[in-house]
Amino acid sequence: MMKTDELENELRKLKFTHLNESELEAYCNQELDQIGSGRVEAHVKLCFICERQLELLREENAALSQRVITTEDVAFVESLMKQTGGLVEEPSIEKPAATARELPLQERLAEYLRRMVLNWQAEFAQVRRGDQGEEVWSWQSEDGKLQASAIMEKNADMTIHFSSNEMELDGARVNVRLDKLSQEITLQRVSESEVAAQVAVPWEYRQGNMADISIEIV
Amino acid sequence: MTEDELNLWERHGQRDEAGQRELILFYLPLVDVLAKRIARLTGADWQDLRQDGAIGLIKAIARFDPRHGAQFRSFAKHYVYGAIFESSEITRSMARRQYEIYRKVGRTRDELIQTLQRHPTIEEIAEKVKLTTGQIRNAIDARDIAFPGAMPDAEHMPASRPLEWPRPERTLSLLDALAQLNETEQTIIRLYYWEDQSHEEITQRLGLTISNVIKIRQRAIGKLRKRLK
Repeated sequence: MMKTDELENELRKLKFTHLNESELEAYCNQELDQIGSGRVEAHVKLCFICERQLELLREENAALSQRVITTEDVAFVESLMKQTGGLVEEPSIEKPAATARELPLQERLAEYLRRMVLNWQAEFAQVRRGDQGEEVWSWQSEDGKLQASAIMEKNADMTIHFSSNEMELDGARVNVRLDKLSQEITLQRVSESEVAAQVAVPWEYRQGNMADISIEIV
Repeated sequence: MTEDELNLWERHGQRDEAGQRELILFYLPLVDVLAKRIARLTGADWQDLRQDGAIGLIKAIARFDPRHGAQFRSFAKHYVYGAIFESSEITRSMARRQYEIYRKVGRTRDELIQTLQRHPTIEEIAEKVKLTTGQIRNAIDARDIAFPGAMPDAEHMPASRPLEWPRPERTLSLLDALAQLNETEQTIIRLYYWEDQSHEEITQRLGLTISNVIKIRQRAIGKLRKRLK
């Protein structure tokens, strides 16, 4: 059983724990309960970095809630939509080249990885997970040859799994960089019909910019 | 997400062009505020930055999936900042310079925590690093541009005492357990542990007797301990 003084120390230290963006956002939107708000208020009194983050967030929320859309804004957006082809033609959902399957293996893998990165869903809610973790992202190449998924583990770490039935990929080395984390992995045979590899993203790295990802052949 | 936002996302899901335009217009003020923030730091023309930022917003809208339960605003900021950052050398060099200042501030803060045995104020750090508080705030703002989403605890967790920071699962459990306490218990916990008030001060604030305050605090600790077993 935990000693009372240890628990009390933990309680005291809670106010020193930095706030993440979702907590700050929930506080701004008045979505936190009394104890959650109390912790935010106690922490920002101590930490000018989180205090500043809160100020910036309030500035953004005020801009959104007090929005006045002018005719110039409408014209600006319409011209942008024309320029970019609107939202439907976003590169992340473009179709693969018809010849992709015929490309040499190395080039095909590079193409798979490029599309995988384009489809990376970068933001994951920091919520509690079940015993087995929870899949928060998954992707499969158009030809079904390569799959990837991200699992949020119970301890809030994340694991990204890669697998393929393309046995020639056995031994292929890939560098995964996610914000400040950079890790080289090797696809290895795990059964007669599958090669696989995985990357562990510890919680402390997950606090970084999860949109900043690159996956490249070494 | 507000109901308005959810309706817009629903229309966007149906590939309704007018709905898509409304969605971009809905979030355009966010691009404006971010572009103006960078313009303030760099001296660049905010209207130029707005153009790049809005393209980032369009990409974010195309890639966002509301079913994941994340907040679009935080998601979009990465793209808006990223688009501005990528398109402007002046922004990149400013962000790098400011980030160096930010790191210096972070190191000084950690040193002062050790010396003072408490968190230093921004003024104390400004004096130590010979910068103005405005310059430090600029560095914090710029750091958010160069490395959006990175949180200070991951980066500035002092290597000498990493175990002092609770793991997130533990923090979440503790916050969950705290949320189960009744309002008076929560108030007493907050005042006693986070606002460093004495039992006497809490007594005056809540109009309870001192023995009651002590009893309620101990009962709350008991409940927490039971829940965290």
